[in-house]
Order: sequence, then C-alpha cells, then structure tokens
Amino acid sequence: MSAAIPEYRPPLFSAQRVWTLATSTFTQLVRMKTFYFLAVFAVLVIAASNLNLLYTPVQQLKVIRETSLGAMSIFSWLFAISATAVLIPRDLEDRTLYTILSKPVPRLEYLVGKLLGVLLVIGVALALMYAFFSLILFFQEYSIISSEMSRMSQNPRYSLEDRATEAALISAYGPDLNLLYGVLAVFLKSAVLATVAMLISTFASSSLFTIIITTVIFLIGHFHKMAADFWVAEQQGALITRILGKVLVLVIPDFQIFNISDSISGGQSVAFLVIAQMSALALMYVIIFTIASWFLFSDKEF
Amino acid sequence: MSSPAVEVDNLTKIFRLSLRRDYLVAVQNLSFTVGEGEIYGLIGPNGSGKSTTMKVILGLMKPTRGTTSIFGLDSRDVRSRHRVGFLPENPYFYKHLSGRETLYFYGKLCGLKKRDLKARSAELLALVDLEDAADRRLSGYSKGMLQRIGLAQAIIQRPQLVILDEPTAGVDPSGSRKIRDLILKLKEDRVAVILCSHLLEQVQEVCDRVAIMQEGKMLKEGALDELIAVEDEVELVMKNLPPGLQSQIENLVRDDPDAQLVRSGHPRTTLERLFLSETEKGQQGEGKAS
Amino acid sequence: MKKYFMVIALLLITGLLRLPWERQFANQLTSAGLLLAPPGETLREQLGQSATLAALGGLRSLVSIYMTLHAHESWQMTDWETVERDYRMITTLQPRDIDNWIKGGWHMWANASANIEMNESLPKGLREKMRQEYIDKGIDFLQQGIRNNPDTAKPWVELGFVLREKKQDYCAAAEVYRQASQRPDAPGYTIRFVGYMLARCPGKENEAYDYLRKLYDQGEKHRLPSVIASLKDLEKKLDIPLIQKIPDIHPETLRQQRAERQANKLPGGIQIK
Repeated sequence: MSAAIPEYRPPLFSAQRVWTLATSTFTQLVRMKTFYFLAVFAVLVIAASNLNLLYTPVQQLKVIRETSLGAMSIFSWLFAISATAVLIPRDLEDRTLYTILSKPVPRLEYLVGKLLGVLLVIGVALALMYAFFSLILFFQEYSIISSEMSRMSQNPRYSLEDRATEAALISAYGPDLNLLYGVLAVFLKSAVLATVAMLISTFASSSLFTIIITTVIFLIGHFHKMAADFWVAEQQGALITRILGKVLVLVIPDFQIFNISDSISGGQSVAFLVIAQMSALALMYVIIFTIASWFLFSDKEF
Repeated sequence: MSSPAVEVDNLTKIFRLSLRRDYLVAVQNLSFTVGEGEIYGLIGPNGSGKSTTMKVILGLMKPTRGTTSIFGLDSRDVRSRHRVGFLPENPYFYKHLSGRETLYFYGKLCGLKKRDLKARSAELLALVDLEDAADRRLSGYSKGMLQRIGLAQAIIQRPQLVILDEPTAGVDPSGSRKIRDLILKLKEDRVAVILCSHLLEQVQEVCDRVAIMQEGKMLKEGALDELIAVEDEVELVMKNLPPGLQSQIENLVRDDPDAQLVRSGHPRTTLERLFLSETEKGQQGEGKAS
Repeated sequence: MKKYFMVIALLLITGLLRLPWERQFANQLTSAGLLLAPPGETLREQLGQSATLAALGGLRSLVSIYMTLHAHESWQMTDWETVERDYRMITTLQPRDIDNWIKGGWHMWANASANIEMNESLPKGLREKMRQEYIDKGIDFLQQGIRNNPDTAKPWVELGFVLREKKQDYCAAAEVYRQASQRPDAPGYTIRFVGYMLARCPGKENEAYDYLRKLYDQGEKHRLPSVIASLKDLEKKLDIPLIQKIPDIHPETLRQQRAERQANKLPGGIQIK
C-alpha cells in the first residue's frame, strides 16, 4: 500500500477542487429546501398576471415584469446574505471544516468553492424563475394581443396600421433579451453581496452578526451616489463625519449601480456593452472582496 | 524517505484570551518525533494540549514558536497535507451526502481521479464494513458508523500518516474494536499513526510508543513496554494448580529475606473482554438459530 | 490586528482606483435612462423610511405596484386625497412611465372633480371651486408627465382634451394640440384639432382659417366634415370673398351625413350607443 509515493507537486490552485467544493455546497443548499421559494415565486407571477386595476394592455404586461424581477431581486439578496453567512460557521461547528482543511486544500480554494456554490444556487434559481416568467409573459402577450386585435378589427375606425402599431407597442413588453439582461444585473448584484457577506463571515463571531453587518453595508451601498456627491460638494460638517463618509464610499461597493432591472421592467432597453461593463465591475468587486476574505481567512485558527 | 512522519520541534502555542493581556499557554516547548510506520499514542487529561498539538501539525493552527513538519514538509505548507489523513473527535460530515459520496468528496479534494476514486471508495467501504450502508445518507448513520466512514475518508488518498483524535469516543465496544482492528491494519501497511485517546487500554493495545502530556508539557515519553513494565515485580499466572502447591510456593517466598508476596488469587478478565466474548457468543447462537 | 489594517488599506486603495470608473459608469447608466436619480427629500418623507429603502434597493416597481393597489382601493372609497398622494408617489418612483401620470391626472380631473360636483352636502359655490381645483390638479399631473417624458404625444393629447372639455380654454388647447402633433407618435387627428381649437379661440380666427385652409388644400385626407364645417363657419365670420371660398358639399353627401347623424352614426359608420 505504501509503495513508492512519487514526489507529487500539486498545483497551487486546482479548479477541480474548487468545483468539488462548489458542487458540494450547491447540493448542501439545495437539500436545505431552498428551491421551495420557486413555488412562492410561481404563485406571485400568476397572481400578478391576473391583477387587473383598469390596466392598459401594456401595463398588464409591465406588472408581470415588475413583480417577477422584484421577487427575483428579493430572493437573490436574501439568499446571498443568509446562505453565505451560514455556510462557513456551519462547517466550523460541524467540524467538517477540519476534515476539509486537513486535506491538501488551500484556504483560498475553500473560500472560492463556497462562494461559487452559493452563486450556483442563485444562478440556477434565477434561470428557472426567468424561464417560468418568460413563459407566462409570452402567453399573456399572446392573449392580450389577440384580444386587442379582435376588438380593434370590429371597429372600422382603426386602420391596419393602427392595429400593427398597437401590436408592436404591446409586444415591446413581452419576453425579450433586455429582460435577460435585467436578470443578469440582479445576479451580479447578489454576487457582490455574497462576497461581502463572505468577507464579514471570515471574522464574524456569529452568523447573525454577519447577516446584520452585511445588511447594513448593503443599505449604505445604496446611498453611494449621495455619499459620493457629498464628498465632491460638501465641505462643511464635522471632520469626523467627512472622513467617515469618504472611507465608506471607498470601501463599500456601489450597489445602486446594479439597479437597472427596474428600468428594464419599465421597458427600457440595454446595450450589450452596458451589461458587459457591469459584469466587469461586479467581477472586480468579487475579486477584491475575495482577496480581502482570503487575507483574513488564511490566518484564522480553528 | 529519510524524514520522519512527524517532527515536532520545540513547539509552543500561546492563546490570547481577551483583548487585555490574558494568555493561556496551551503547549510549551514540546518536541517529539514519530517514525515511519510507528503508532504513537498521545495521552493526557482534558486541556493538556493534545488537540492543539494535532491542529498545529495539521496546519489548522499556527505555532507561536517552534516548528512542526510532516515527512519533512513544514505544516504551514499546504502540500504537507497530501500525506496525512485526519479523523477529528466526534466528526460530522455533510449529512446530505451518502457514505460513498462522502468518500468521493474527500477523494476529489485530494486530487484523485474518477476511476481510482471508484475503486478506492469500494475498497475502503469494504474495509470499514459499510458496504451495506454505502448509499445511505450520513444523517442516518450511527456514531460508530460515522467514526468508521471518518476513518475511511482520512485514508482515502493512501496517506503515510494518520492522525486520530479520540477515534472511539462514544462508540460501543464492538464498534470500538473494529476501529482498533483498522488501526492495526494500518500498522501492517506501514502507515504511521498518531492516536489521541482517553481510553488508556486501547492505547496500550495498539501503540508502539506513548507520550503523556499535562498542561502543555511532556511528562513522559517512550516505548510502551518500557513505560509500563514494573521492574521489581514478577507475575505468575498458573492453570490447574494442584492443592498444596500454592501454599508451598507461598512458604518459599516467606522464607526468603528479600522477596515479598504482593497478592494472589484468581485473575479477572476485563469487563471489555467479558462483554465482547459474551456478545460474540450471543451472535453465534443467533447465527445458528436462524 | 495587522491583517485588519491591511484589508482596510486594500479596500481603500482599490476603492480609489475604481471610483472614477464607477462614477463614469453610473453617469452613463443615468443618461441612458437605466438608473434614476435618488428620490428627493419630500418623497422620502412621504414614503416613510422602510419604503424608501426598498425603493432605493431597486424595488421601485414593487413599491409602485403596491401603491397602485392602494390607490385603487382609495378610489373606490372616493378618498381623493389619498388617491392623489398615492399617484404623486407612484409618479415620483416611476417618472418615465407615462401611463402613471395620465392615470393620476385622470383620477383628478375626471373622477374627483365629478364626484365633488355631486356632493350635495357642500354649498354650490364651494363645490364649483373644488371641482376647478381638482381639474387643475389633473392638469398639473399631465404637465409634470410632459416634463418627464417630452417625447411622447400621449400626455399632450390628454391635456388638450382637459383644456377643451373641462376648461373651455380653446386658445391653450390649440397650442397643446400643436405640440402633440409634432411628436412622432401623435394620432393623425391632432393636426386638425389645432385648427378647430384656433377657430374657437377669440381673436385667432384668421390664423385658424389659414391653418385649416392649408390642411384642406392638402387633399382628401383632411377634407373631413368638421374641417369643412369649420372653414365654412370661418368664411362667414371673416367675410372671405366668394372666389376664395371652398365649394359646398354636394347635397347628396349632406343628406347622407344628416341621415347618419339621425341614426346616431358618426362618419365612417361608427355607431354611437
């Protein structure tokens, strides 16, 4: 059994190990019945598509888009914060962490694997929700257009052109690529949020502490623009608040920047370049905060 | 292959208890070496620094002073972990995984390839007697089964050193004996083992060398036989003694000016031995009946 | 401890590096209409803290759906103050959704003003005053909607209707319809409504005549009965020389039109119920 062991030089960073940790985290989270939320989501979307408050045809579709993207945002934020906050302390409590770190697993790989696992769950959940609500949106669009068309065709006042224009107006709010971009923006925001939660959890004393602090950072991150403007413009105020304001702007990510899904559900279209830039920004945040987490985690004693 | 399995050199570990200057010295100037294929027992009361020492060896903690190394590689180097397996005290693995999945998980972390992993897992499941439970989730495992799957994951990558922290804590005697047999099997395979245990009897049964620790310091270390031999006493155990012979012997001893009879009587079996022999008899009886 | 300072230093330095890019990107998003400016002071007061946080957190849409439901309920209870407040919030949350401006305005100039008119517990003079106030609130919604969405004809058309029907301010309505007709999505009739409104605006008869005559001269497309009737009316008022007058409608066409009117039919065969 202990025959000649070759002088094995393991790679410093192994994608296979990270993937093993990520998929294990994925199944761990899925078996915590996370996906029950999807049922709640389905009910919400169906309810929204049956809501009728004297809505115009376009508004009817808009409400589905808004409700769906809103619910997807809430799910992914809550999940990003709570799942990430719970994972590492749980491994520590169960001593699973000992068995993992006593294998040849660099601590950075452990962190990246856990984070990737959380992001996988969010990604898969968002993809499923997106598929479901696109389907509902597609059928609603179809039924609204056909009922509008039959109504308009009975009325000779409407020309063929009128009808075509109306159909085009309605279908601008059907399922489209922009919605996918909106969902991607929701994902990117949650990815940044999860990485922040991971950083906090590397030094937090409890999951609750992580959840609270991350939530506070998340909220502050939405006032980023105001705080940044304050930095540029404001020269009054106590020195301490001014310094604190500057530090916060530099340290805390700007979460508001990812909030384009609201405008998208309202019918705004997005250029691919914008999404690419936003992804780059999110990736940069994720890398910075992962490095910071690793800094703290590499020294941690268990 | 000249480096010993474990080398602990002048290890000191100090914990800071609070933000103020309160310190706890968990391990103090500890040095020992574990040779290749040796079974090394680490015993001592709670809080004597055994677990801390193990954690430093495994790189879970950093030494305050001194060094530890595994086969010549410093413990702080993640590569040193390729040749060591660890079973923590009361391990909990991911409950959502089955026994087999658990072995796959740890095997992949060690960089094992898929085909090797399949064969190796099957081999280990047979070794730890968990073939029937291989595809059940760990949430349904008993304590003894968890310890055994824990041992299996510890040796998944064929390490040449295994560190076991209280491997039989909370396990019933027969389960405990299975684990003991596994340790002896490791010894056969020339795997070095560090065993931390409260069960001195178990340590006595399997270890080649033993260290006794207290308050972070080494009290005594040496080969087991040397440590426990009572140099100035001799024990005779006799069977079917004819009547009268015992009093003759006792008289001979009494007549000698230096010799002294300490005790005589019927030897007792240990409760563990009794329990095991009776339960085995019971099982055989059941086997016949069915 | 040292590590913590290092982490903070890392975040500060990367923060300094990323901030300019981040700001530029945020401005790009705002100018592309993808990000909205944060709500102002007054809205934050109105919404209450929790809803503000939600609104800032990218849930503007959800908050506004909730507010719409709330406004719907208040409307059924004819609680006009609440309806107005709700729509002020909805429109602030989603200023680019023109339907919200139009619907908020409609609740004011149509529903609230009519409801107050029927409220017999109030003295007549006060009722009239309040009716006018609600109409003005409706107009205010539409004007703000226009300011936030300058490229669409919808609020202009709506505003034209209110000025014409509720305010009888034809001079202002003419200007509004003119604005509407210049938007790319304007309905075809707005261009003629400018003329009708001018015709009814005292002192603008000459302008009205020139405008409608120009339309008439463009051909059959604009030679609708209303255009012809308005022109005839103006010819009479302005003493247009016979030679310049447009021809009378053929008596047969006139009879047909009259018959249709008696049958409650609009030109084009649209039945009025």
